[in-house]
Amino acid sequence: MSSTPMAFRAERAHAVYPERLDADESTWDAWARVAAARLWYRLRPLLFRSNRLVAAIDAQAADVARLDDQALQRELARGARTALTEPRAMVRAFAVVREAAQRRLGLRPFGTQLTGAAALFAGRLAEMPTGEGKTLTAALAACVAAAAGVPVHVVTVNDYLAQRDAASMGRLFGFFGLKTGAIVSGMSLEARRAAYACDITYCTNKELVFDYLKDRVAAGGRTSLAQHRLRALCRGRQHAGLLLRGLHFAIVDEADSVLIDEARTPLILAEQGSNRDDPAVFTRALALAAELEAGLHFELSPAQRVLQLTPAGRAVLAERSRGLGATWAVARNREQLVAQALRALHLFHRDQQYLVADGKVHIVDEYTGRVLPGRTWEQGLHQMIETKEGCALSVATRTQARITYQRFFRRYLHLAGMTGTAREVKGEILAVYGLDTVSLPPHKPCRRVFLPTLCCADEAGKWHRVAAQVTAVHAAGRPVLIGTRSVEASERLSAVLDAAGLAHRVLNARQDADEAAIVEQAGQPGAITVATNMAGRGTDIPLGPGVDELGGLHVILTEYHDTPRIDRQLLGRCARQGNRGSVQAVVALDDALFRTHGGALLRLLRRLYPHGQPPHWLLLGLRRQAQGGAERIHRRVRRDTLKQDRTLDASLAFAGNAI
Amino acid sequence: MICAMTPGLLSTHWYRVAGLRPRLRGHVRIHRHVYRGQVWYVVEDRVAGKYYRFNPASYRVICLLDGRRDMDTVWARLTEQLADDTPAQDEVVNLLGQLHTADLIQCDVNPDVAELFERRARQRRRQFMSRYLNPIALRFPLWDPDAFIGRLVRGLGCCGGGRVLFVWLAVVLPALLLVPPYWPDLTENFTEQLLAFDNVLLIAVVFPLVKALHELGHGIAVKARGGDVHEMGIMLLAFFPVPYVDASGASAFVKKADRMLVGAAGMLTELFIAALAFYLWVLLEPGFVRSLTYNVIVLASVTTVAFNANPLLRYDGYYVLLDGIEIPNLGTRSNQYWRHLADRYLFGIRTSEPPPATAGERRWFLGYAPLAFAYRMFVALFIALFVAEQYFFVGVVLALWGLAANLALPLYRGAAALLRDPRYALRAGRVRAVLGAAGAGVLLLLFVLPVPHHTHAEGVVWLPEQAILRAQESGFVEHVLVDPGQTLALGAAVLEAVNPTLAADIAVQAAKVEEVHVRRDAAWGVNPARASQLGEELRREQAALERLQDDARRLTLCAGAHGVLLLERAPDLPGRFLRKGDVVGYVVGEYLPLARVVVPQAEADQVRLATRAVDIKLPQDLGTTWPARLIRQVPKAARDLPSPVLGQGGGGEIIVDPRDQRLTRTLESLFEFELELPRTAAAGYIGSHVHVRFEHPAEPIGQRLWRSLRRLFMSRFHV
Repeated sequence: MSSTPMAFRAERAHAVYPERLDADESTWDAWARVAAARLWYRLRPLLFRSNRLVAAIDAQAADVARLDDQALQRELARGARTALTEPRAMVRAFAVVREAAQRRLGLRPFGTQLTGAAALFAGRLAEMPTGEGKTLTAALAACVAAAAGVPVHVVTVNDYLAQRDAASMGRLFGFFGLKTGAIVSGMSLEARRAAYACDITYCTNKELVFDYLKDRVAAGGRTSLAQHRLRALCRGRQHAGLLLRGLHFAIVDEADSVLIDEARTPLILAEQGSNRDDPAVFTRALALAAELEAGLHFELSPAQRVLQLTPAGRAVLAERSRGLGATWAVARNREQLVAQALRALHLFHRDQQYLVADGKVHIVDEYTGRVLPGRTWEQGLHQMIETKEGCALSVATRTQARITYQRFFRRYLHLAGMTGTAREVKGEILAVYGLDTVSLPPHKPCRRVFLPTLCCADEAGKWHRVAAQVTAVHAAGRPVLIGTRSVEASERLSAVLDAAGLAHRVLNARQDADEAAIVEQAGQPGAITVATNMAGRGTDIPLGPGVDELGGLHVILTEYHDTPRIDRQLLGRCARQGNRGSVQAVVALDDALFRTHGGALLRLLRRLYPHGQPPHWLLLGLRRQAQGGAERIHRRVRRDTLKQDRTLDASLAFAGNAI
Repeated sequence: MICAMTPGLLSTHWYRVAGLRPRLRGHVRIHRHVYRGQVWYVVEDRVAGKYYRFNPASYRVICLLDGRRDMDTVWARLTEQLADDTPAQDEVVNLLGQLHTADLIQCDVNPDVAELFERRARQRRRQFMSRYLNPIALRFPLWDPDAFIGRLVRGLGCCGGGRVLFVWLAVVLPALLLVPPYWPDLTENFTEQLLAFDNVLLIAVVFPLVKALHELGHGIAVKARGGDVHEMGIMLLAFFPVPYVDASGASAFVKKADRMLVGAAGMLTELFIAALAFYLWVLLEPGFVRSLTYNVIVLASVTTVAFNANPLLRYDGYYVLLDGIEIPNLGTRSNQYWRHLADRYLFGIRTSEPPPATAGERRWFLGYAPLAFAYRMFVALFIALFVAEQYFFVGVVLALWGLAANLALPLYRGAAALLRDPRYALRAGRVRAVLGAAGAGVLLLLFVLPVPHHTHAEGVVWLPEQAILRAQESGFVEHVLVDPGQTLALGAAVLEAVNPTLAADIAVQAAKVEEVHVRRDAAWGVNPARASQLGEELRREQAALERLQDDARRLTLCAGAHGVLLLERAPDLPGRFLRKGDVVGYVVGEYLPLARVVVPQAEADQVRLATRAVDIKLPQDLGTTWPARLIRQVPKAARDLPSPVLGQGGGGEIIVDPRDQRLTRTLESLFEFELELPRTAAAGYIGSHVHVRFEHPAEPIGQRLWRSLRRLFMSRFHV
């Protein structure tokens, strides 16, 4: 298993550079493959067979330690290519890289990291507990692959991490004469091209996908490199340089959030359009929408985030828009406009789904709590929200290319991923990406303490309880990290804490410039930090002096998320690498998750326990039901999106530009 | 222009096609059709021989695809004047996709060759599935008959349609007129003639030939009206090879009469053949050729009218009906409409749009789908059962196949769509509720809800021999001694009869005795040896005389049991001649009338073990029901009826062996039960047959179905 090295067995697409053919698998094939893999997961011993690999590498350790630097470099340069196919050579290569890591970085990769690196090298998803040193794990695998001549993309979740990891691991790569590049937003095309030309490129998923889309547009869709050059030649100009060299090998950090949570949001490469929309149309649509009644004129399902006009609503609309001009005379037009206006009013809320800053509407990623710069909603929704918030209308853009993560990452010839939380979605990851998940044990036993969940009747009660908990822990001198689900919630909590006289810092999409600094400080004695759920993800929270003895960082979860994975990610902020730490959830029965997915059980609990705090097992049941329901809907939407994309591609195959 | 840029009409995928300059392929022809006052455009792919129907909105787009304009320009043209039927960009993109899938357009870019191959494979697979999924109609294309039929049409000089019609009428009408006088000859022993073994062989030979001419009729009609016929082959209809012709070339015909003519051409041809065969049949002497013509008549008239003309199956009648009522695709659209109804009212999807149709069309939709479904199921199962009688395994496979294709697959697809289709996501709760309720309802109906349950049988009203008054000796009734209804003691005389022959015989015999007596007396003492010889003779003659006198005594009929006398037609009796053994009447009292009921083996168990009550009805008085009591069962299965009345020969329902003279030998094993009848009911009806209803405890239908299924398998297939 661990000894299966990298092999490019994928069928290559007809494209301008190497990438995998994104072939449609028949339903039965996919079903059989997933069923077989499920069986395999059952049969495979719980503990990944790490010991044998680690033992083999250890056996080489003494031998490798005797080599001098030049010999180490020669050893890798000679053996790396064989390591792609030969298990023994791979063991040797990892032993060499481990020795180099110790010499250059002062870090000696421990067993879990070596096993993880081997798993990545073999194209699997390594599930490692939070704080197990994923950066180094990725670097080991990247180093061997790059030494073998395979261009490697290490995909991180934000620019900061990309830069930091490229800088820190660059020393290891540099030791073997491998060049390291990092892509951050705002770089010029030239700089990007140079970075992608490096052996190992650290980048964020978003930048990577947009660069890929730019290449596709430049190449004019489905053309071979030869065709591309010939065309440029015939048109009498230099062929537009491509940014990437191909999709060879990607190591995706926080793979579950990239491959699953964000999988279906399309990334759209757009150019500025020429037409400016008439603001009056949107104003009118909002005005008309405001007059319609939920349930009577339109149906709203917050759980599925779906909104539809009813026949009654259409009739009312037809009547009220009589004489308003050509735009409103066509039924389809006015209904679409008003439906979007209704969505803007009822499904998109300020400081939850978006922020308003500098007179512009910024989309907030619901999973990471970060602003997604440069992204806009489609089909006039963005303009509608701008109108609703009184911002100037942005210019309508013209789509040039679009792709979703789930389609993009399937195109890698060799894909690997790392995450702390993949258990719940390993079936789906396997079905969609063909990625086998291996779970690695922590190398030090976990000392995280789980305190019983507190449940309140409503939100106000919840903030009160949170403040009380914070006061208690703070009094002991321990640092506290409080995770909230939305920007709005973080600010509300901040106000409550202010009122209680607790000094704290807030980390959310509004102020993520000094994110790293805030996170650095969050582990100091007595620090109180309020953060939207995944802010600071990927960075360690270093504990201040004496904090560990006091009990480590205390994390408070103030609202369950749509999936338990994200809860676990937040809880994983404390008690890393053998440190102490404690976690507690403080939730309310009127949390959004419970409201939308709680169903009959929630109504029952509300009646039986009007003041909150139902018995633990009932609360657990409610949580399971709500998160299960939410996850089911998300999974379904992801599957439908992929299917729709495929259907569309198949029917538009004649257009010859499948992007 | 601003209005055209509003979101409702725009598509996020438009950029994929914006720069394309598609155009219709050169071999594509467009025909304008009118159905029920609505204009449609039928696009004919002359190379593939396929036809696609588009509405005017799509046609507007198709018109603009000339290979010079790019799609942005096309879009600008479309939105110059916005109207409710202006297609949205998504619809235009879809349309382009459809046109591409149908190979109707080409673009100015390199096509994706891999996709072309993949699509071809997919099409083949679909074709394969449609060909082999239906077990009772497997198709194998063999030949392109276009040139041949073309020559045929030219040879026939078919262009003058009037002449053909005249010839057809001239042949068929007189035949029709001649049918009534020959009707008895034609219909005499119809089933026996048709199903006799050697005749079945003959049919097997004649049927494909007749059908080949039928199909040729379609082909000629298409060709004569200017279409093409490019596929002919063999279809296995319930494993029986039948030729077929692909007459889809008619779809392009603008006049509906032409399309209908093509649909009906096969049947018309067959009727023509039937008429010709009829003339031969009339002229010929009985013999092989005549029975051949008889078969042709039956096949070419009855089967074609019964099967082909039936619009519930997708044969000729269906297409003729479609063209006649101008509803293309009735079957599919009818299903769609029902699906919409289910969405709208069952699953509460208020946004569900009905498929575009006029009110008249909707009425057709409402009726067609359920009827066709029921009929299709019926035919599939019927054929399966029919085959199963001969080949059990094949029959069962066919039945399962038919069930899978007609019921399980649509059900599975429906359920999968309900669970997967995003349309139902919003109503997941209601969908689950409806599915659950439907499932529970079916289960409840099948396995919980008890339904009254009866077994019907026939019996005969019966008395033991002692209680039956039979004439002991033939003779004329002289007078009846007792009135009917009187109570008799055992051995009481009932009537007296005279038999003059018997009386004369007695007189002759007495004289004979006298003669022998005298002769013996004469010989006595003279010739002792002779005398003893005559003594022997005298004893013999006396014995004969006594026998005759006994017979004469039996002319007085006595009761064999005590009880009330029942006489049949008592006033008519005096003077009537009774043959020895004739039933004269009954004596009811010591012995009560019984009903002897026979029950087929399959139902005997149920009658024996689970009978709660028994009702009888007499055929003479069907309005009244009498209660009865089950008193005895004969513990063995037999193949003999207690009375010929129960067999088909005697007016009953049980099939008896026709070779049996007494008409009591049955073909299947029967169990006999005896019922005690109420005295009042049975009096007077002894020997008559009686309808019996055994009432069983109420029982859910599912259990009964399961039992009869098991019984069917056990009895029919001996497994």
